[in-house]
Amino acid sequence: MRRLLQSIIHNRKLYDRPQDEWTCGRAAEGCACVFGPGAKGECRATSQCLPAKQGDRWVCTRAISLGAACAPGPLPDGSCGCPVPPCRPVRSLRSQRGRLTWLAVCAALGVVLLALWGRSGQAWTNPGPLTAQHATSAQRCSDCHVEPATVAVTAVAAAARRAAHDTLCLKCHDLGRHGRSPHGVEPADLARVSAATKSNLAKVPVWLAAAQPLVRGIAPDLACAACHQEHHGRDFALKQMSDQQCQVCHQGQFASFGDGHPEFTDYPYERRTRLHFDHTAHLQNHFLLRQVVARAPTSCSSCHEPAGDGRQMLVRDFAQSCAKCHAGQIEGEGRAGAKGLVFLRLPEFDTNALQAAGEPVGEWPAFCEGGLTPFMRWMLEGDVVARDALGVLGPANLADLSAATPMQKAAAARLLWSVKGLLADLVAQGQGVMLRRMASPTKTGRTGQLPADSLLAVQQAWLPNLLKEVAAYRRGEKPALPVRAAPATASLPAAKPGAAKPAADDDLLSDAPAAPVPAAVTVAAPPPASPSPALIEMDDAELRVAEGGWYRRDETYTLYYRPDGHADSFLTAWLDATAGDPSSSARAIFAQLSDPQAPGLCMKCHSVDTTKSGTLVNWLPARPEPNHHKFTFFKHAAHFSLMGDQGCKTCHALDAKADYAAAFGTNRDPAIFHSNFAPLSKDTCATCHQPGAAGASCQQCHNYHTGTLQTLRAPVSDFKRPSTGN
Amino acid sequence: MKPFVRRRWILSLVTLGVALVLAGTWRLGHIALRPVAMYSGWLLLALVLGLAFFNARKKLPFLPLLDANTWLQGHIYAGWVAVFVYFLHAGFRWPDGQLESLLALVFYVVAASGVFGLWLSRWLPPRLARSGESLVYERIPLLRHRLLAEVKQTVRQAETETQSTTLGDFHLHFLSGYFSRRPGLLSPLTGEDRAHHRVSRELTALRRFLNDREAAFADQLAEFVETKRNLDFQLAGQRLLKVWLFVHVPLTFALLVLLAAHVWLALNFSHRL
Repeated sequence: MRRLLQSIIHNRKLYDRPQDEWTCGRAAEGCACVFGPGAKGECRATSQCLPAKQGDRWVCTRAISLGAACAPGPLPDGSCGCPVPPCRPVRSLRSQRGRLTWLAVCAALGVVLLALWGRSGQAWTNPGPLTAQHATSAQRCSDCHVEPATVAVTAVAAAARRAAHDTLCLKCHDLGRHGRSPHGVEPADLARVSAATKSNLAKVPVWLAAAQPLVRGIAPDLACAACHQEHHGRDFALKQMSDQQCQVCHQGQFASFGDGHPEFTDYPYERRTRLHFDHTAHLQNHFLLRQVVARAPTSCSSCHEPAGDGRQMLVRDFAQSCAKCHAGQIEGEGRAGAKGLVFLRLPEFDTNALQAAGEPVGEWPAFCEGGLTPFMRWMLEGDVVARDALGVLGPANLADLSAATPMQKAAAARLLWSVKGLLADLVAQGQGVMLRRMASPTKTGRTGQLPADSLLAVQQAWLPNLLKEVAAYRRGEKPALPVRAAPATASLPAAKPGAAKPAADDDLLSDAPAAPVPAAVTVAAPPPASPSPALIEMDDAELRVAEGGWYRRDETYTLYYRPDGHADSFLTAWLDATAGDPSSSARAIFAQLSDPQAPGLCMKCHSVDTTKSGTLVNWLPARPEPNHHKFTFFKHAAHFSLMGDQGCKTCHALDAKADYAAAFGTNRDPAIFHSNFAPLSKDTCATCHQPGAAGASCQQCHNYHTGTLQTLRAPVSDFKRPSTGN
Repeated sequence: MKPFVRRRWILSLVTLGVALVLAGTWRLGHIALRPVAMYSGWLLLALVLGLAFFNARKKLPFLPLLDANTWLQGHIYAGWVAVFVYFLHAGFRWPDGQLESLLALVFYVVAASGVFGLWLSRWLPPRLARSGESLVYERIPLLRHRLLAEVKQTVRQAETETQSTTLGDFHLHFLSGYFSRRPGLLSPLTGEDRAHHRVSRELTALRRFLNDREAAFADQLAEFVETKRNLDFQLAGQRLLKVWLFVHVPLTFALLVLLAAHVWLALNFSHRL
């Protein structure tokens, strides 16, 4: 029989107090005193009992569990006869656990206090390393967090708090005008697209359909942190989103790219090409011509190459792709008319009518042809008198003023003197006059480096007395009625002895070469067609500037500019300057330069776009725009190895019926076009882009933030002059 | 099916259902770009506070707040839910920040100690009941003391009556050490009982050298050895049933402090409130 350690007799059992903080130090020896330790752990033992007085005797009251009444019994003074030596109370288990709990709480509190306010607090409170980009750009918590941030209780306060935090994000990240709007699209546009989109409910996954009601109303107030969650490590994918997260706001939802994704409509041909290049015409006609076939490209890569990032396919530059066939055309090869651009000429005036009306005209060639050139008209409009005269003249024909009113004749005379004044100013002051008269904000290319000597030679050849006449006219001296003068020469006249000196106060003419002062104002005879006789026969003036430059034709009193080839800076500068200028003068210049037969043939290939942001001549084909985030992107280079025998035609099939050329000419809207190629088929992509193969996630092809955005707004500090301390 | 088994099944299924509903809600919120971390954080805080209140409830027995058994059942199953919500909240990954790593560590230890305690409270008591006399833990030191005294008394009596030191020597070499040693902390789990077997084996081997009178005393000593084995098992087992709370309870309060700091930081720095 197993012996029992514990007594089961009720009055023999000890009274345990496990809930007490302290237990008697002698409890383990079976000698625990009946009083037990005090609340603070002090021993209260003195004796085994407190004797009770019964009548005149003291009686032992020791507990039965301690052996009942003791043998010696109480002392005569009533004290216990079994004194108990003091013990060292020990803590109960419960008390020990309580102390440990306090210790743990204090330790945790210490850690928290150090973390929040300690020297290395930021390292402790930082919920995790930032991504590499933010780790180097954000120095303090307040760079990205509103401090102090109030706890938002109401929805309005929460929205304000989100907006405040987003503002900090947008300090560096430009998301356009509607940065907080979904996709950065204007809300009205978004509503329009949403209204036009319908979901194919049969193909919407259950989870997506169930989640969609949860986003109603929050889309316009989506915090940046809803998608971009920081503090998850240096290499954390901040942009990573699930396809369902991408689709949850959309009206048109679908299961996957292969199952339900909308068919492509115009992708990737979203606009007119910047250069007018008809692939169909070139591939099916021009490149097959016998005289061209040797120079024709042999493959797409002859003219196209991938951009550095492998995404866009670029058009190689003019020299590599077009020059073999078109360089000569641009330089004027085989051109019937003048190879140069008419810049300036002496217009034909009805000098007889002017003389008859008593308007002095001074020296003026009798056989001029044509009217004012667009460039001259713009420069003359910079002169108040000329502008007024042109206004009075209206549509009157300067070459035949017989039917003109006296007022128009007077205006014609003023205009004639303004033309002379313009020419005189050009001779005297050079290119600066062009820029001033045209109020040109920039000078780049606008002057075509027009040489001062050319202007001087023009003046000497056409109007030898111009400077004197204009000076006199501006002094208010009325020139005498004209008499026919001896013909001028094209050569620079040498100063002749006895020639009258210019007026001392006429600074304009102070540097001008001396010329004979005519006895009377003359009408100049046409200069000889060729320069003065020379020992060596001279080539035609146009041939002498085969590489581009200025030349004149004295027989027509015209100054030409011959382009120096492709991308001539003078032509491009003036086309850029006048393309979007609504003034009549600018439009006239643009019309002159953009004529399909104009020298340089610029507009034969380069289109002009007029959009909300202005008018732009497309000098270059599409180029990578790092700050322009399209909704859809594609990496060509990653797909080269997948092309079969068809090569680029695998995706880009020619659409021979498309009226490609119709989108050019007078059309300036790049959105109106017909591509040379048929739109891509979604099935072509879906062949590989399946979840188990090349992947079919939204982010493989789509950007969320769209538009022209600066990836990072670099804070640029102002350069301030140091304070003088004065 | 026994009532408690049925109860366990029902509560387990309810807990599983709650977890599934929470997981589904979390996924929907995640897809809908809602601040699910914030929502799950508030839920987790409420659960942890509710779980911690179990300790306070034990100290406030006068409050009419259901009985302790109901609280314990709620504590167990709410604890499982809290662990699941924690995983949702943390995104099934170890946090990156130092304070949050500490918070996660403490949460894991508290949860793990709770699971360990739950298992221990289901596994150990039947074994303690089967091993022999059930003892009050607080009285075990006294019983050890008494048993040691009785062994000494028996050995002394044997030496006096038999005029032999055989049992005295045996006591000196084996029994005194065995009866004064304390069992290891985890011995109920490991089943470590080598000392008891060694003493029993030696005592059996000694019988060949004992006369009848000495053998009678040896039988008494063998009974004491068996009693000591049960005493050790009761001590170690009951101690283990109390010691896991030395981890679970203090760290729970440390967890509350760290949670308060975490909530304060989240409220101050979150972009998505």
